[in-house]
Amino acid sequence: MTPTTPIEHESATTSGSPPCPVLEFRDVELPPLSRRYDAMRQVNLTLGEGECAVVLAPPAQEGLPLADAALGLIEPGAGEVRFLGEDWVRLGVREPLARRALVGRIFDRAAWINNLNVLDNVLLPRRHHTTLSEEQLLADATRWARRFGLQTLPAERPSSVADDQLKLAEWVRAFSLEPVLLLLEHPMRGVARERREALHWAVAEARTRGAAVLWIASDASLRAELAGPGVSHYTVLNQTLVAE
Amino acid sequence: MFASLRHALARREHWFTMARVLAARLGRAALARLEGAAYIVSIAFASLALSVRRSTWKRTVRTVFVRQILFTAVDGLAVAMRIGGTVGVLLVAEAAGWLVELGATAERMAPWLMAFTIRELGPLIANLIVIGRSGVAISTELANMKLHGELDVLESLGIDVMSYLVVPRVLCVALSVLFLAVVIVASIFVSSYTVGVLAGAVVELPWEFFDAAFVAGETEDLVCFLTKTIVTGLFVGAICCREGLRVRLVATEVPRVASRSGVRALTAIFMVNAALSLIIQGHVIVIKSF
Repeated sequence: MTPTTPIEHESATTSGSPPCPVLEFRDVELPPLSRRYDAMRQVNLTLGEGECAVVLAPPAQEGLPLADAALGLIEPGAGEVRFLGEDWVRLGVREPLARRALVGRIFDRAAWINNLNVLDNVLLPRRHHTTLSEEQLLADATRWARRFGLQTLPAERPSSVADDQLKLAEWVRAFSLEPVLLLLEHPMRGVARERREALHWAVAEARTRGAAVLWIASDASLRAELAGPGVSHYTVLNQTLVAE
Repeated sequence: MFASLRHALARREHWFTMARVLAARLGRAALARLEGAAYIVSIAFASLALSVRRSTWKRTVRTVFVRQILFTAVDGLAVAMRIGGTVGVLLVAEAAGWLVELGATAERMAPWLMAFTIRELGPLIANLIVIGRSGVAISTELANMKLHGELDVLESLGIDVMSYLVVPRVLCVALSVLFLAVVIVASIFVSSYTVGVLAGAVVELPWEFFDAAFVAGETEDLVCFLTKTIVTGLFVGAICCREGLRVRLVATEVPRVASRSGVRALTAIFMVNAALSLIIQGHVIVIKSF
């Protein structure tokens, strides 16, 4: 079977055939690869278009390998992680890169190229993967920045910018890609609580457009804030992902 | 008698074992070196192969390439001219004496300078400048990027580390070595002529001096110059990128990486230069061996 391209995926969903999930973890075991991540066992999770999974991580285990695994950056010890119907480990050399371009991510760790300024960092993936004009890219980024409460995107290096501004700039980078999958790892960390509404609106809008969302957080109030059709909740207990 | 025989056999067995262990260690070390060399060659070739693909040259990669060219070639211009100029003065002082001692006249200076600087000195000095100014900086930058998780960020964004970070740097180093070598050769000629005229060692007019040099130049010199700049440049770029990306997750390793990449790149340019000399100027070795 040839790898499903995003275009094929879209046509499959509009032609009436059952759409394949955007992201699927099937009996996945994730080995402890670094000091940052513990192992995870029995990860089963399916996200279709417009669906959202909220994973509540215990504060002691905030660094979860789920986002890395969802992007095919970690090879599971067992099971398979499928993105747009294809197992990451079966893809060739170039195909994973093209697929990762369809994912917007907010990182739970350093997320910046330090020798680029924040604006160039935000524009980097779209500059790399699209042929849109600089004016268009800048206009889109500025629109998203204003939506999230940033007047402009900082033209300084990340090390010179405050943490909350950096986190908001990360939101801009993730959402301006118009991704098919959003991986939000503790997106509210370091950000003022009043910004939460803007993020919820952006997530709701992305879901309406058909994006799947995997939201990892340790704040239990998300249970109430993110509820309704298409939203599933999980917790991590003893390194196992448990559906609530 | 049997006891002494047994003892002699045991001793011999012991020495055999020691020799086997030593041979195994040497073999492992040699294999590791070969593996490293093969890895460097594969990075250089992969960079060349990727560079001819249009899809590699996305605007982000072009930007990295231009910045690297500015840093390595353009910013290195003044250093190359300074060193080339100084070496020209040294050469003319030495050459004037040696040529007379060998029974040649000072008019032979231009062809001699041409052969010596184009074949050996120009590429060598250009490589040394690039290693010192940019090679070590490339290793340090890549090592820091790896330590700070920036390579993971690029991978997460779907950006190929090889195309985005390695290809533009390797190519840029190769092209910069070529460019700086041309500048160095030109600086050597200009300063040699100027000092030669001032010292009375050169009596030709400028165009006669440069004409004599270029007429004496052979196709082999040009081949030698191009290979010794571009091929060694590719190796230097590949070595510096490899060393930078090999860093383990300890910040204290970065200075060691920088120094190791400098030393390895230096070793490589002498080895590659020697190999290229043997290949291109093989007949010189044959003549000397008689």
